[in-house]
Amino acid sequence: MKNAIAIHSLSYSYGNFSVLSAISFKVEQGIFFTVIGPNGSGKSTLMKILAGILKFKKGKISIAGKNLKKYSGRELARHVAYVPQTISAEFPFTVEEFVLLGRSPHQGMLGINSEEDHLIADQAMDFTDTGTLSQKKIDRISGGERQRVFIARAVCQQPEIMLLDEPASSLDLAHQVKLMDLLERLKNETGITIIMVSHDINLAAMYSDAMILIKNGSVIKQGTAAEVIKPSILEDIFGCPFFVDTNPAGNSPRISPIPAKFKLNRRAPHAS
Amino acid sequence: MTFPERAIMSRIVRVSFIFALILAVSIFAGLAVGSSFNGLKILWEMVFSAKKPDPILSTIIWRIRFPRVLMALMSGAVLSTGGLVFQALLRNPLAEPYILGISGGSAIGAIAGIILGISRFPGVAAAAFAGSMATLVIVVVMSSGKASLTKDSMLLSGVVINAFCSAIIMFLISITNSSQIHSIMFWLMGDLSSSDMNQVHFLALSTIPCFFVIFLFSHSMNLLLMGKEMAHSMGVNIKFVTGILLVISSFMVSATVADCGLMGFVGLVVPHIMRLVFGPDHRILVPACILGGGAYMVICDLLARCIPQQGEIPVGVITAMIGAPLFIFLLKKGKT
Repeated sequence: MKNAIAIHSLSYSYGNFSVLSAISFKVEQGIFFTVIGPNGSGKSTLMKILAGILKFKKGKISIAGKNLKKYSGRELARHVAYVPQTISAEFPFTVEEFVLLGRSPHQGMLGINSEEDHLIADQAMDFTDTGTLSQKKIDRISGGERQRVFIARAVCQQPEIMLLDEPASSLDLAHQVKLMDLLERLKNETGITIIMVSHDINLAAMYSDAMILIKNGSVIKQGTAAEVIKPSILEDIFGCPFFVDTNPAGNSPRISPIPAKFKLNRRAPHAS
Repeated sequence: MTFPERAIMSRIVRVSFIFALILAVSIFAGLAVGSSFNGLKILWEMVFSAKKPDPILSTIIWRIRFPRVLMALMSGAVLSTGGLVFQALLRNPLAEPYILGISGGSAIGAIAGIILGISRFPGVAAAAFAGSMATLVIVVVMSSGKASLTKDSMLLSGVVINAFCSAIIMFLISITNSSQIHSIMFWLMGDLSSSDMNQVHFLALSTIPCFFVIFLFSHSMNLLLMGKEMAHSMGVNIKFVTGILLVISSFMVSATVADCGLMGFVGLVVPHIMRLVFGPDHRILVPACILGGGAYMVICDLLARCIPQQGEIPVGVITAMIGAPLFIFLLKKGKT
């Protein structure tokens, strides 16, 4: 299996504040990969580095077999699409106009859309089930719809790798699952490598082919969901007790945090 | 108004054509109407018939009204497009071309020039231009630390510098003798009455290339609306694009303000109206602001010449008096 991304001892700091320290990992092509970890662990910084937004000094990153530093901005944008948590929608584009912006790395400076560009945008909207919204203004649709439109824009960019920073964190449970199903379908049908940052471990466990757990800018554990999601590892990282069993509807590990009062209840039957 | 048709090129051409027509009509009106005589018929005969025109009328139209109409056209186009660019770069719909201290700085330069009694063009204009460039440099230096060209720090620096400049302006006015106050006040309110062809040539040469560059970057401005990081991840070279656009639009606004004085509200009202009508695509908005902003100013100048029974009102008064209510009306209408 070829690697979509290979990172070798990457370090990054904001001024004197170190965010990532010598992390190394590889992501195989065409898999669903998640980066989990507590707040402030460096997850979002990692995504921004991979998207070419932040310039790193130490370490080496290869994307599709080529050194990240050798890519021009537009060339990288043809390989990697980035979906941040929110995108500014102060100036109201229609959904179709917004999705079409995804074509710009493939176009000239004025971004003149060809018939093919329109076709690709239509397909991206159909795929994400946003076709019926195409003439609506982006600031007039619901949060769940808007998140799907952001993904449609990234699909329209026709990348090999899609980076998503907490795409589901602002959505309700039903919309979270719908969005994740969409990403999985995207992986299966187009072969795009999905790299997602999440602090929702259960959601990540249900969909990931592989994951890494990072804390304070270091990789703590890397492997399948079953290998990474263990109470012994997580309790240390998050500083809070966990109970791990198997999702009754499938075979992914399921994690439940244990509040103080539950701990008392658990002990109670043994005492009597 | 919506345009369901998708091809962007045909939309650009259609919108440009409509505004070119409006502009042509307003230019004709601007040439035909004035304090000494009115008449489309006279103008029509002079332009299109072989008959030898009356030399006095000819002088009025070609020496007095024509440069004035062209100056109005260009200043309207520059201020509207400048407003559009600043609103996109600072991602703040309330940004306007004067926000970076351009108005304050050039006003100080111009008032100093008037007090020293140097000629209106190129003397006062050069002083005003120097003033605006000086404040611009101060604003950029003030707002650029490690995170250069941050939108909020730039906006804040501009506001602070403009406030400081107002104090200096008031000081200068207070020490001025009364005969100069009239020309200072006219400059501060925007004045096209002393336009001549030299000024027109100068302004055309310095602004028309700017329009081309801004149009070339219009799609980059679309991408910037999604936020800097998003635009960056789509391959836009943020530092290059914002740098070029800031320098170019500040330059053309300074050149215009130096020539015509301060004309308020144009840079805020015209881009907003265009955005409400045509949506946020800058490939449409740039030509619409150039042509539509030009037409708007030509009409405002026409009103400035015709409304009073004697003399005229500064055009800046008209632009603000029409612009502000129109703006509120459209904003209310657009929201519901």
